[in-house]
Amino acid sequence: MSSPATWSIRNPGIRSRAPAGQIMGRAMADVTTERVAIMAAAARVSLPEGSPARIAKAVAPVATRMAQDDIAIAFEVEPSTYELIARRGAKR
Amino acid sequence: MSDPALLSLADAANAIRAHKLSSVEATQALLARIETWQPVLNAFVRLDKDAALKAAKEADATLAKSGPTGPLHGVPLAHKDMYYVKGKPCGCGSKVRDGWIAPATSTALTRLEEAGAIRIGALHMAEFAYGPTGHNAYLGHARNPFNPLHITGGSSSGSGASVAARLTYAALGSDTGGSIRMPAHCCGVSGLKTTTGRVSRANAMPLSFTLDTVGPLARSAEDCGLIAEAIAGPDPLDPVTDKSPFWDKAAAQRDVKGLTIGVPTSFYVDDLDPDVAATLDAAISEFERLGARVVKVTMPDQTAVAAAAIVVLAVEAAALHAPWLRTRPGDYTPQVRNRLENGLAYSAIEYLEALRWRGPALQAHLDAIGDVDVILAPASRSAPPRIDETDVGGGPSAEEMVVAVMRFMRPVNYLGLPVMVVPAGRSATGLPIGLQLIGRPFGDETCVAFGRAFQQVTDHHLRIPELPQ
Repeated sequence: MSSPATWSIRNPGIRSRAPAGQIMGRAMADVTTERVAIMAAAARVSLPEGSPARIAKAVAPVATRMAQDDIAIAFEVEPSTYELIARRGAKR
Repeated sequence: MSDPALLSLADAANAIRAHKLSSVEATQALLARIETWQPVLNAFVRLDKDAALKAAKEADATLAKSGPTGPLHGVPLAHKDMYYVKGKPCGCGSKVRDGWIAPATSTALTRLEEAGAIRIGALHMAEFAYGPTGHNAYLGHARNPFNPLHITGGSSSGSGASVAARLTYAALGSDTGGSIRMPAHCCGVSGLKTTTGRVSRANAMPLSFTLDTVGPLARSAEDCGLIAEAIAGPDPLDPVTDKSPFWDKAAAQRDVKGLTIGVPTSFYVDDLDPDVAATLDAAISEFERLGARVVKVTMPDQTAVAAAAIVVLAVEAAALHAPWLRTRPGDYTPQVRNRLENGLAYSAIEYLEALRWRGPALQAHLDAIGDVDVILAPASRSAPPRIDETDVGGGPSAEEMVVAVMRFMRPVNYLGLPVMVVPAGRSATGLPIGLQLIGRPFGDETCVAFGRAFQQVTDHHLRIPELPQ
């Protein structure tokens, strides 16, 4: 997909090593009631009856959006890459 | 002098420094208005009347003896009840922290004190700042000064309402997903969401350590600049501010002639109510008359950016609250508990992917806007809705309405950008309409400069609500 929404970092050094980026969506799972119950239990939080279904319904649209193919990042990008780009984007 | 409570922050500070108004007179004027308006608005959660008057007397004495201690000498302010003051209660809008005593004072409040300001009380907020409307089932809802049946916006609900009703000259809010900008829009005041890392968050209540920002709501863009000048800059207690520049006053006061405004071609202009669309069009014309260059900007898909913001906010809020969700779940109101529980459902991979994508998403934004100085966009699709139609039990459309009202807020938090919200119009029913001036990273001063220029040729920010009969 080569629409303008296929985003890649413009740092040439990084880009040359990972021109295509990874598509995050391909690694994402559906949000099911069972998944919500398991994850809440793993966090040691007791959910009221009916909550897993409510949560799954609330979270699914966001997770689905994040799973779209237009969200791509290079292999080397880490959260702190944001700081570099923010400094570079300043125009004072 | 007519009612000193109606002065702008800049004018009040100047009058105090020039000995034309005493700090005691200013404080008494605000306290008198608070007494009248508080039953209508529910804007304050605590009023420190005696302490404020004592501090005001001391400020007057100091001024007479040795001159002003700073640019805000003797100016009474009130702030969202999430900024800690050592040894004082800080409820964060919640039952969970009701009666909790703060162990230290927030850097933002310390810096305002160093600038000479005094405090008169603490302001209403959404429970743990996790609500966009001003609803708070524990404290009672805050109410819009222009029509108490309508929302104030949140989570800095008391900040918006009290500044609009002239109960404080300015107030600190916080913005993690629109919490300064939404109340500014709903209450017809000016609000500055600062660049991520520009202002210290030390000893302020956290909601999302990635997205939280500290900033002012005030009666004008110039007033927001005065507060930002006092609080911006590096703080050893908050490593995120490590390279934060101090405030550049000249940049915040510069002429906008020759600067460039971008107007989005999608997302921020989709499905606007006619009143909002007309307000945007009128503002574009004003900026053209001011000599700014106006260009159209095709921005990247903001729905993806908003989704990533939700993942980061939801997971970080859930992680912060997990200990209380385990031990005191019944002490949250149902609406906020539901929101917090949503954050348990995202996986670690989803969260980290949302964090990793932040840089590329910002780069794409910068590529799209080119040399544009600020993006001009509505704060919301519509004027503020009623409290009952956005409340729990407000019917199946309530949550949908909240999401629609908030639609233009979240992308900016994810990208970490500064935004100046200015009142720019009103709906057919007389409710305020605000516009966002979205800047470049660390371009907070440019946002203020655009807001200031706009307010030099318009009077929306001077509109004062009347006490309902």
